[in-house]
Amino acid sequence: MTALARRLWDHDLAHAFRHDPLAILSAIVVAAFLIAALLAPVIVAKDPFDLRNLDLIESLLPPGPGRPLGTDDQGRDLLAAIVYGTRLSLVVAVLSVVVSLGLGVTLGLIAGFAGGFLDAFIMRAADIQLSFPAILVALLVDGIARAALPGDMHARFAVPVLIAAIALSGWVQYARTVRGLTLAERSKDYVQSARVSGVAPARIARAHILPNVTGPLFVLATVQIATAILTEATLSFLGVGMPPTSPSLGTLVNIGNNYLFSGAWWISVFPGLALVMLVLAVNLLGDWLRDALNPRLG
Amino acid sequence: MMLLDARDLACTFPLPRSLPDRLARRPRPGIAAVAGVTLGVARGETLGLVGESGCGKSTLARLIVGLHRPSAGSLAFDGTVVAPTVRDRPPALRRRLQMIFQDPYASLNPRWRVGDIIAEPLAEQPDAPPPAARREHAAELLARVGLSAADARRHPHEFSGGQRQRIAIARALSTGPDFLVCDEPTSALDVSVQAQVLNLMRDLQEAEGLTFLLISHNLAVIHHMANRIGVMYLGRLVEIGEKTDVFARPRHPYTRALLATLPRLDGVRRPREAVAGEVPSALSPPSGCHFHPRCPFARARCRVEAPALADGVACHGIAEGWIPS
Amino acid sequence: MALLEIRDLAVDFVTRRRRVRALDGISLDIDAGEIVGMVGESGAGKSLTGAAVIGLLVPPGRISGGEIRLDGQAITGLGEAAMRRIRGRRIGTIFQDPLTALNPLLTVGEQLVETITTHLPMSRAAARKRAIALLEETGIPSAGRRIDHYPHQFSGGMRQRVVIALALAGDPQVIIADEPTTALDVSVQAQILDLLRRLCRDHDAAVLLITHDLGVVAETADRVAVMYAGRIVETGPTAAIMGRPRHPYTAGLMRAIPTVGDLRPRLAQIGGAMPRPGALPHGCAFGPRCPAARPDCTAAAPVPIRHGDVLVACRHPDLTEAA
Repeated sequence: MTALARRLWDHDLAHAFRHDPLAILSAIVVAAFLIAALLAPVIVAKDPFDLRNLDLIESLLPPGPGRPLGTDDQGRDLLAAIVYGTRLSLVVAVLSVVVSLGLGVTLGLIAGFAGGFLDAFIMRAADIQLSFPAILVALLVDGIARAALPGDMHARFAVPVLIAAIALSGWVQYARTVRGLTLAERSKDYVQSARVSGVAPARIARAHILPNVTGPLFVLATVQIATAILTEATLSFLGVGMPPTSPSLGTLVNIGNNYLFSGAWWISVFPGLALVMLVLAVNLLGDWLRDALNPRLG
Repeated sequence: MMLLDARDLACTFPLPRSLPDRLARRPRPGIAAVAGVTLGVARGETLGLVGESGCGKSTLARLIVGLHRPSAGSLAFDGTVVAPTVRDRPPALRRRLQMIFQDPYASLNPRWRVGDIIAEPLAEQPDAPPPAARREHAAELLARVGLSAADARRHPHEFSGGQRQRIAIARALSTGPDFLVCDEPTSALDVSVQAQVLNLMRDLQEAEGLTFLLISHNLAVIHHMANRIGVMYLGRLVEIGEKTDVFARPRHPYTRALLATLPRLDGVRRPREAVAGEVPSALSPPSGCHFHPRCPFARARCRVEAPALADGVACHGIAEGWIPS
Repeated sequence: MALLEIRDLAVDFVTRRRRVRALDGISLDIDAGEIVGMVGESGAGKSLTGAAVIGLLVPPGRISGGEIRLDGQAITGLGEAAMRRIRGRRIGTIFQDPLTALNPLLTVGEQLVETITTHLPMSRAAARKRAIALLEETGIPSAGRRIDHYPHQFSGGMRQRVVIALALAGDPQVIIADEPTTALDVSVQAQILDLLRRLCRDHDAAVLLITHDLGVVAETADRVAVMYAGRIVETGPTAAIMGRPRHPYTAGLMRAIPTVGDLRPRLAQIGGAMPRPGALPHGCAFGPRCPAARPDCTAAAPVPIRHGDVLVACRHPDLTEAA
């Protein structure tokens, strides 16, 4: 165990990390958000999503003793709302990246390996999707879900719908990357060698090519998490994401937007700051990872 | 009877057509990588195929193992005509026909363990032994190519180029083949390592009665390993014969030119007659005999008519006797 | 005094973990009008030697000892700006792959004129005339027309001729040719080597020909330096070394190469592989693979000893000669 720890500590990546203060700072910020999100019920006494905990008498109070960041229009403690909102934002972002990663890798692998009609079909679909802004694709998916599900159902399925909407708007990047890498791997002799031995195409794609194209995806996925957090926040801000009953960071900014000019600035500003810090830290970490791994990506 | 018989084997790779050509329904252009090659390989022998870049020797190798689909011609193995592509061939045939690739840095999957790499061809057979037996078999093969059984657990990047080529050979041997296509097996290796690999191939051939089709641009390697040699130029076989005959009395002007480029290692410098020009692009090969623009003996007939292979050589001048033997 | 003198050159790779000696005690002289072949297997340090001479060592490699003198003047300590003036003007380079040595977006004429005007006080018109003359000299037919073509319009052999013309553009005294024929077909190889010899003679240049191919050296070089694991193990006139190798590595290499006319069923092989820099055995680096190794071979790295025209870094060359 100590040997493994020493190898990890001595790894070039670990070394590069130790010598980059910005990377360390970003990692600390991201870790703080993750811990807060994971331990939300421990940190916060009252679940802000539980309607029984709301008290309108305490609404729109400025920051003060017992409520460090103030309260919102429903009387929720804003710190609690931010902690729970971060949790929601992270869950939606990570799951949507996982889904779009799975989708993109599968489609990219098929396109690159099969070639011909399938390749043309998948990549044209990707091109068409790229010509819409990601947010428009997400709005479209959300709109369809809204129309398909009855009113009260929609609020209950807000999280899966958001995940699907963001995942569908993000798979193209992975698909393109994987397709390009697959094209390069496909012509290599280890693949030809497998063909000579009669290995079936599907197994060649899965067992031979897939493990050789996943490396660069981790960097891409890290950066995409930041994008997904922002997309989620944007959708929620526009009122098509998380409902006010279980607000994410974007929803909180949206709520606060209504009171910005009536003096209750804290409802928008504190969730907004949290959002900026989180996205910036994830982005910086992703950039650092890309730079640190870059010489070996080839 | 020949173990492997290729008749008029040809392979043309299509090129993309421009839009006007497509609209005018002009025929799709293509590169004739292999243009009608007929040759046989006898059981237990080594046939060496030599030629410069673009001569089609690697494509021919891939046609034989079924990696490319021939555009014409047929291939027979052990007296039976075989399907053109490897997916259509029965497992029993795939087991007998294996290939060693040029670059051992590219022919082994970097993410796999050596033991799994070696056992894969066997694992793909319908009557594959259980995993434990395959592991044992892989360990045995590693020992046979001069590595240790413990190497099965390591990854390819932990080995040197020569060791990797040994692993590639072990993999090719795992199904107990009788025919090995070796495409430039030592071109990526240093000379001292090349000697190790060539010696290993020799030993294995003797021990297992293997038949080799050895492809190389290196005349000395071909000379060392082959019983017979074939010379290719721009997709065509221009000369084929017993090694001793071809090296002692090369007949085709191209074979003569190739032999003239052989360096001598004694450090005594002789003037060598460098053949003029370069191999033309396979995209637009010369008319008639492909070698005529570089041939010192070329006559009018050579420019219009492609010579057929007769008595082991494809040359008008030899057939008609106006090129001195 | 030789035109290019390399004295006790040492190159280290310095990483955060350790310092690895990649080249050690490289000493070599090249006279004007002479081709010295530097031969060895991959990783022996031959390309590194070439890179050190032209001042293009890639970090973390750095010269950590010894001296390189060009026409009597030390160039080892020069700064990057001074080295840039020497490169192209006084030292020309020819690389293995002619495709990457040329800029695909410029015509060969533009690249030649650019190089000529950088190094020689010439108008563009005069430079163009010189460029055409260089292309003619390197054997490119109808050079006046071909000068306006792009690199991709040339065949592999013609492209390498263009690279050679580019190396000659500043009229250098020294030419470093790193595997100049490795990417070419055998029939073209012979043409390029002939060209290299003619240019060396006509320009009275000192040529360092780096190659893994003993055949290329045998046909082209006046003298040979055989490299093994970052050191020169044997150096001397080509005929002397090829005809009578004294170092067991050179002898082993010669016997490992198949040649036409040689009817041995098996090649002599050198067991094992060359050690990597930083993992060298004690004493003679070739010791563990040497058929003639004696107990004293592990004492220290052998110093080169003169035998007639030949320098051999081996304590027991007599054992190799007897074999």
